[in-house]
Amino acid sequence: MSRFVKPTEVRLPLSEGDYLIVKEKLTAGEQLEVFARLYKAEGGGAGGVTVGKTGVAESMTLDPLQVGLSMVLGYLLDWSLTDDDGRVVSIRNQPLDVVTAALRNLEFDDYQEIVAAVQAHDARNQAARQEKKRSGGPSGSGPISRSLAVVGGATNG
Amino acid sequence: MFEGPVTLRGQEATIVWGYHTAAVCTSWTAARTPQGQWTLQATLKRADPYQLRQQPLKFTAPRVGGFFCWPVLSATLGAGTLAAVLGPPES
Repeated sequence: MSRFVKPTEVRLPLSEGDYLIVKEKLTAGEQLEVFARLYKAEGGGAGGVTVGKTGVAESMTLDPLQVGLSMVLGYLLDWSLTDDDGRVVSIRNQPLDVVTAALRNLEFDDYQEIVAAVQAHDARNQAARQEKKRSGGPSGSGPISRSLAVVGGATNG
Repeated sequence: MFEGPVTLRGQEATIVWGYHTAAVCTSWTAARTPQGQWTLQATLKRADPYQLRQQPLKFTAPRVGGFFCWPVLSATLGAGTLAAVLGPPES
């Protein structure tokens, strides 16, 4: 089974018949972007990281406004949410700032419902990965082969 | 949709693999030979070499009232450029 992520979409139900369309899994790059968005820039450092003269990161500042939101932005592809005229507020293929603006204009309870749905989806993914490791899937450690040097009677040092 | 030799040019376009944007084009030319084969030449703003090797890929370009869309049968990535063989247009 491939370790690469296929772009598969999943529908997550919300209350009142609404739903989210999300990525089934995040790629490594997308997961790193979720982490990176959690930190805000201070002192001109890119991505929330202040870099010293040695080129080593000196400080990172957690952005409380991104907690929850960052993961939603990582997973969310589209939704069924409509405006007052009943038209779907389209977010598919929109830039992150457009999706962020749409999320920030929701009622807080509805925003929380979306965050909770995406976090539950992510938790199910994590549980599935753990189960795969336990059952010896691609991410688990396989049995270690005996050293050929030992088999042949040679030393390796 | 098209018959005979045709050449279409545009500026913004994307190549998508599922929900991933595998490449963003800044200018492109799609041409149909008299034999009916479509080819694409494009300059790229960014591209993901892994995603451009997956299937199915679609080349989509905005037009008045919608999008052109071709399946990408094969793609060759150059230095900031892309050459591709396209299937018949889907829209």
